[in-house]
Amino acid sequence: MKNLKMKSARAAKDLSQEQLARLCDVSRQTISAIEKGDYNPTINLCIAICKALDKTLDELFWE
Amino acid sequence: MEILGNVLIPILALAVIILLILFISKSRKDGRHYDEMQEHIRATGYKISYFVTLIGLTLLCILMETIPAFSRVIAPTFGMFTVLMAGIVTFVIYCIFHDSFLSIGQNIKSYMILCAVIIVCNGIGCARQISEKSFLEDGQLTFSGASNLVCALSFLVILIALVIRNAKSGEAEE
Repeated sequence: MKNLKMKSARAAKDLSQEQLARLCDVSRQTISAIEKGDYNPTINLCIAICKALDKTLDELFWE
Repeated sequence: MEILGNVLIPILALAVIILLILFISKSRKDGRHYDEMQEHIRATGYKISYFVTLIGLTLLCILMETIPAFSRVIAPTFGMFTVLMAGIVTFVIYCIFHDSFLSIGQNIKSYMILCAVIIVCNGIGCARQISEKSFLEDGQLTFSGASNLVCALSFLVILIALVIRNAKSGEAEE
C-alpha cells in the first residue's frame, strides 16, 4: 500500500527523495520503495524519517 | 612433502590476503555502507546465486559423467570456473537491477570504468592466447586457455547491466 502521508509530508517540506534519503542516511531507491509501499522499513528507519520530516510515527506510519 | 607445500602455500597466501582485506576495510572509514533495504536485497541475491551455482555444478557433473563428448570439449576446471562466474554474475545482476550493488554514495561511473578496464585486459589476454594458438589445448577448453574469455564476457554482461541501470536511474523521481 502506498504511503501517501509520507510523500505529502516530504513535499510539504519541499524535499526531494534524494534529499530525504541523505537526511536519513539511506539510498533514494529505499525512500522511493517506502513511498510506493514496496518496502516496509524497520522502526529505526521510520524514526529517522519522522525526525527528518518533523512528524510523529502515528502521523506517517499509522493507518 | 611436495603436496604439503602445494596445499599449505596457497592456504597461507589466501589467509594473508583475507587478513589484508579485513585490515584495509576496517581502516577505511569513508562512511560507505548499504542501507537496510539494500542488505535485505543482497541477502536474497546471495541465496539465488548460491542455488544457481549449486544447480550449475550439479548439471556440470551430470554432463561430464553422461556425455563423453562434453568432457572432451570442456575441461572440468574450466567448467567449474564458468559455473562459479555464472553464480557471481547472477548475484551482481540481481543487485544491480534492485539498486543494491553500489553502497550509498558510491559512483556508478567508476565501476563502469573499472569493468571496461577488466574487459580490455582480459580481451587482450584472450586475443593473445588465440594468436598463440594456446586458447584450445588438444581441442579442449581449459582454465589456463579460456578463462580470460569467461572473465571478459562476465564483466561485459555486468557493464551492460550497469549501463542499463544508469540510464534508468536518470528517470525523474515520482
